[in-house]
Amino acid sequence: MQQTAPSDPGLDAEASERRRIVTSALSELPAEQRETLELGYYGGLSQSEIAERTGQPLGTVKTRMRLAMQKLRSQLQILRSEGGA
Amino acid sequence: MSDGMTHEVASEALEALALDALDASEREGVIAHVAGCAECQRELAVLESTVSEIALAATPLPMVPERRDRIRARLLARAGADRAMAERAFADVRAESSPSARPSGVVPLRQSPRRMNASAWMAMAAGLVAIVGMGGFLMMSRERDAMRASLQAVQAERGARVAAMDSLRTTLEEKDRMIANLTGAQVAVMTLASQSPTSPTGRMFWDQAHDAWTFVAHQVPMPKSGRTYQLWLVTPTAKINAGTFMPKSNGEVMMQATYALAKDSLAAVAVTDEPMGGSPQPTTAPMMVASAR
Repeated sequence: MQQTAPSDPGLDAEASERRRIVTSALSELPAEQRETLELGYYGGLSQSEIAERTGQPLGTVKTRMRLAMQKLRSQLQILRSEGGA
Repeated sequence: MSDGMTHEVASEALEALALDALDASEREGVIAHVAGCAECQRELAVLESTVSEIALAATPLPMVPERRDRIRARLLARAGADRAMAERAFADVRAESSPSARPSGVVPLRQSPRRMNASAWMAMAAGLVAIVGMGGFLMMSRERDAMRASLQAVQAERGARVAAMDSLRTTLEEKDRMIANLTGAQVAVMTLASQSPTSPTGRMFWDQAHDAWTFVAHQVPMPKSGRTYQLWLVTPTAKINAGTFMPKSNGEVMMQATYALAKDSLAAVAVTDEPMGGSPQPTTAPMMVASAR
């Protein structure tokens, strides 16, 4: 029989809050940037493959991916400061 | 480090590197730059932390075969690229660490600590395993070569000893045979006299049981150039060639021959001076002779 560790209400709440922040940050991205990010992260595609899949120039894909990451980095700064504290 | 990629180009690719979305060729150049750039290392650390947070927002989805195969193919390709890069880096380190490749008195700069992702660590670990394995292989090869050389030396020494024993055994058998020919119960001994001023002396031992003839002589002078001595068994009807011989530098002679002859048919034993190679019949007067009767 598999046993699971008893859940900590405090940790659960913290994880839930972090998930909410990340989801919010992703939803605030422009659609084309979020699509590029999701194809790269969730889809496992390279930038060239994303360009081929979306029909966009490779340079455009690179720019969108970079901008998306920079915005996420800024939005999620709060998580790193909390996690590092 | 000469990675061929400027800091500006590499820094603009750090986001894609953190997402693992760079193409293989570009990824290698960026990683090579990051390895020697502290600023890019710090930036990449933050970006990778950001990427790790994205997982929090992920909704668990069943892995479709297409995606699984695609990710697996990329991981395999990346592992191959990391391995090749690690091998090249190791080759560079070896070349740089070689005393011959570094001018004397030059202290190599210490590299700043580099941040490496898991695949790079695995590649380095694999490289270290390969290095250790290569070292072990070289050590085993040297030990094997040393053992093989030792075995060959032992075999050669054993061969030499066997040859020496065979030679001694042959010599011993010859001595035993000679002793038997000289001291057997049916051995007749004839003393050869000489009229030569040097007074050579000789004895013929005839082992009648084995038809063996042993001729021993002393103080025999060296024949003239192109000449040799020839031994004859003289019977009433023939002079039988028993062979030619040359004395040693000290005048000693010892020769053996095998020839069946009836006991009462031998009249004399004689030695003559003959042309080199011997003669069918004596051409000179005997220098040594013994009567058998």
